[in-house]
Amino acid sequence: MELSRRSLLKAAAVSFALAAAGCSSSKSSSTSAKQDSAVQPDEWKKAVCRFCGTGCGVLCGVKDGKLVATIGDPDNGSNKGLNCVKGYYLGKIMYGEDRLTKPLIRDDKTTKGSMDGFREATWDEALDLVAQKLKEAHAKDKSRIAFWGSGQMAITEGYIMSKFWKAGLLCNNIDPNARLCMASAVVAFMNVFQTDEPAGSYSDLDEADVFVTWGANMAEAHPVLYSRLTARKVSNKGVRHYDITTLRTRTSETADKVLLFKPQTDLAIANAICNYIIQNKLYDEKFIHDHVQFKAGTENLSHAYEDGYDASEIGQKGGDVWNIEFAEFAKMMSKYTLEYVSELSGVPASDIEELAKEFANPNRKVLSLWTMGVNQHTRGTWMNHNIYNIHFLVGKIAKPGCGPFSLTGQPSACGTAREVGLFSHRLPADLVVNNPQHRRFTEAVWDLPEGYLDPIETPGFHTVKIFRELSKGNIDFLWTASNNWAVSMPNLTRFLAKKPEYQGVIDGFIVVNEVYPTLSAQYADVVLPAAMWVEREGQFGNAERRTAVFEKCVEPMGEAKWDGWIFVQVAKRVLADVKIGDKPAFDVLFGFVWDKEKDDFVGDARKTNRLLFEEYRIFSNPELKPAAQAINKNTEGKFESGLKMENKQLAPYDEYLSHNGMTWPVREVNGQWLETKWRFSYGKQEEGYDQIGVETYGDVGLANDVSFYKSADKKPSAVFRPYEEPAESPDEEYPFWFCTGRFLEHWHSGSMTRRVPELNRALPEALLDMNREDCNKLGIKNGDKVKVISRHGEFEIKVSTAGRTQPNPGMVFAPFFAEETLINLAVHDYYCPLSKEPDYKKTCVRIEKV
Amino acid sequence: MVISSIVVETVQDKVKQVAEKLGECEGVEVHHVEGYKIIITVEAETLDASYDLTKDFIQITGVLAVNLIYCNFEDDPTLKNKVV
Amino acid sequence: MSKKSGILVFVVCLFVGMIVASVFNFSNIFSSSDTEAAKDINNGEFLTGAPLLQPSDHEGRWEKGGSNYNACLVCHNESAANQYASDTTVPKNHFVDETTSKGVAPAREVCITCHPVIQK
Repeated sequence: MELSRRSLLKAAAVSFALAAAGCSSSKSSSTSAKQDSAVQPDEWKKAVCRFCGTGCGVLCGVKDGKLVATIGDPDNGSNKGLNCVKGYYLGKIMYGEDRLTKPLIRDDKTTKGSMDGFREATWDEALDLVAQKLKEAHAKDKSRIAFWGSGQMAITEGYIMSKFWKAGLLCNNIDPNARLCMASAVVAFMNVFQTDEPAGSYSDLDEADVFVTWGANMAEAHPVLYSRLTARKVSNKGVRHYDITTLRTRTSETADKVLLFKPQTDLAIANAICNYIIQNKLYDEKFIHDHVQFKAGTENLSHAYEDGYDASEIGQKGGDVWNIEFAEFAKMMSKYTLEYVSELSGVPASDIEELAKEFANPNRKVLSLWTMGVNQHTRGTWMNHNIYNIHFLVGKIAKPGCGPFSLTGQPSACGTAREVGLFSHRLPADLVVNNPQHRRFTEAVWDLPEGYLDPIETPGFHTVKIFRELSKGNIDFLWTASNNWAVSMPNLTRFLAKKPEYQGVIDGFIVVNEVYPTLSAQYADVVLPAAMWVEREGQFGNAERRTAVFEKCVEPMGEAKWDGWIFVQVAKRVLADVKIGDKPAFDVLFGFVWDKEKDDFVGDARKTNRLLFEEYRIFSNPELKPAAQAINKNTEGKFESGLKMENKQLAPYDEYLSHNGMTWPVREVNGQWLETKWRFSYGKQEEGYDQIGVETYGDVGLANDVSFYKSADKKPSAVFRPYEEPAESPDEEYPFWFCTGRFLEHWHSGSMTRRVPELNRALPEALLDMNREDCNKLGIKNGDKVKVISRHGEFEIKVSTAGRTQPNPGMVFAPFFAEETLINLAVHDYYCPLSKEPDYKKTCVRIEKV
Repeated sequence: MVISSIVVETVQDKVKQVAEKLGECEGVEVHHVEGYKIIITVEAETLDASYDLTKDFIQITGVLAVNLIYCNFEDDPTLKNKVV
Repeated sequence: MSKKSGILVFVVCLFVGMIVASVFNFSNIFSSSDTEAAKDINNGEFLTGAPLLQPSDHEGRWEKGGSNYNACLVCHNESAANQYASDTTVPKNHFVDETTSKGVAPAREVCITCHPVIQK
């Protein structure tokens, strides 16, 4: 280049830059210009995202009866105006081309496995058929019916179903898909604290000094919470992140240390940290003295290889625990030296020690975060215990920025599945079926005669059991809603009748409430088109205990109806001749909300939901019903103690609308309703501390100003749990660990997100992430098709070495959002004996080039 | 040769240090410093090299933003061989 | 060379440069067909408030930039000549106090949380 031309260009360049830098930004952002040309809504309504457990607030822009805009709600405390890419595209999920708009009936069962064989039907015909089949099956044998619900059902929907199934049908075969995600966390909460759900708040992410992610890929699965983590890290020196994981993910990017461990050995790593703390006398003596009781439990639990495991001796005794002294706890822990655990797990001893020191440092606020890596684990309940044990030893819990935070996967696994109690062993508000006092309390709230619920004192079938029994032809009637079991259940080779001895899914009568023609719909006898997201009013409760309302914004498509309406219509038919006491059962359960003449709810969406919610909140506001309060306070001394039902107190419905969601317990102080950010933590209620809870039921002045008033003797339990082998380990025939999970762009089985063009183009296929060395050894290149084979089934998939996740040699990973790449055909269904939650992370496979 | 001009924005009291640091980078010439803005030109053989150079600027302590103003790339040798 | 003819030469070079840009297919940075595809996807039925996706030629850039938003801002800022990023300036609401000089809001640092890359 000539010198003169070059200098000329350079001069021009500089003058341009000077001009640009000199003039203030008069250039309007082109992006906003584009947005100006996009449709502007007539009105904005409040909602909550219907994807992950973060529960971001969303504002919905509506124009001409259609959703035209979705943006983050800046006034919702959970996300403060941000969404992830899925949240921003919520506006499109309802408008996929193949949306189901009419009830469908399949007359010929042999056509199952496709959408062929369905005929359109009227609602009356479909509802009559469903009710008739349910009634018949129920009358024949209650153990042969089941309802599989969801952590994506709205609170009022779950509440309706709980009343119908538990009180109306007196049946405990009702379980949510949350069994597949949070059960281990729930059982651990109940074992440890005797109350479900975490003590902390999302604001802990803004204040922690040390983040520990235990098998959690937050960057992909809880993106907005992850942005708070990175924001905290970026703006504050000295904040560290330890990623404890079996394979590197996007979350590992922010980590200062990545502790790559051999699957299942997370149990040992947690114990090694405990042991280090104990041996070096770094534990908080006062905290332990004031707040912790030590226990041991049954060990050598083996695995649920056989269907009869639960009924076997070890299955029955697996949950037993007994008190021990701290000295014995310390002795049991002493086996987990740094050397032993480092050898077992593959994590350098120095890394474990470094992390232990962070935990032990009284000046460092440590926040543990976990979801599926810990919960979907054949010792998932134990792993939850082990994390709590560390936090108990150093007294780091229920303080801003500090504590064990069990993250929830689904938008309302907390609010609906757990809090409404849609499990085979639960009743609303942490009550359980096998406790007489809990049954009496429920009867009091629901105006049932005393003793009415005694027939349901024995828990029913949990999820894996429902599907195992279905596969053997032992379930005559199955009804599912807000889930996609044909894609998300493990061991689909068995459950989808790919084996001649397991044809039950074909023979059983299956009813599916659905929105798109998913694989589950293809195995149904009746498909009922349901209203999606903001086509109805509903409520979700997210991972930080925030209950929030999503307003109805648009009418359901075609003839789709609100799930709540569908449930009540079926209940009306099924309970037609049933009495509770001397009154019609339907009137007792739903008379307050149903208008028989209109054959519809008594009011519009708002009024109906308010009525249902106000009855539901009696459970945590027993003073609203004297009969219930009497049992809560044990005024007649019939029981050992009171119930402290106010520990999960919910506010009146309209408070949730005006506050854009509130975290319970919500307390009324001087006419105002105030949320609680840190349970069990003593401080001013106005600042988010659990003042009223501690003053009413707890003790003030204990170590760290906390009081675990809901726990037995007000002392949560630190239960010693050992390392035990996984259900399968790699061997010559099946040499790889096969881990499964989720990526950012798609939600679960992709039934909604894959119908959004933007999200689909961002992640169009499910690929198998493989280590390059392994690829070379097997002669596989990036993009090659392979067969993944386990003891349970097989599937084909393309290999990727692009590095979305970076497995070490001997491990592979795939996401489960693609129906055409049905990875769960190969995943085993062995579950944690205590929680019954299956382990999706550790199936052993071999890989063959196709 | 690809010639670009860039406005680098810095934290108020770090302007001088950043300007010095930038000047030490190969192919970078600092032309003007005003307030918290630094005007530089970057010369590199190819667009890729230009991009690689520029993306590291933000690692420099005190740099808030790196704004590309102008880029002449017609003399990038690697581009001459590409045809539609 | 006189100033006038110098400026003329410059304008001609600039003009030539722009033609060159539009005519040549730049494999690494300026794949116009991919940008068009991105516009198609993003324009298909533009949803007010929804984030634009990165065209597929941006594959790996987030990671290449050290997983740092500043690398993205090199091109996607309002002061840039914007020959190739004219429609995709980072909007004001991404910055602290809606002021560009204060930097991107910490919670928005991880661009790919909302702006994934379209796969080929």
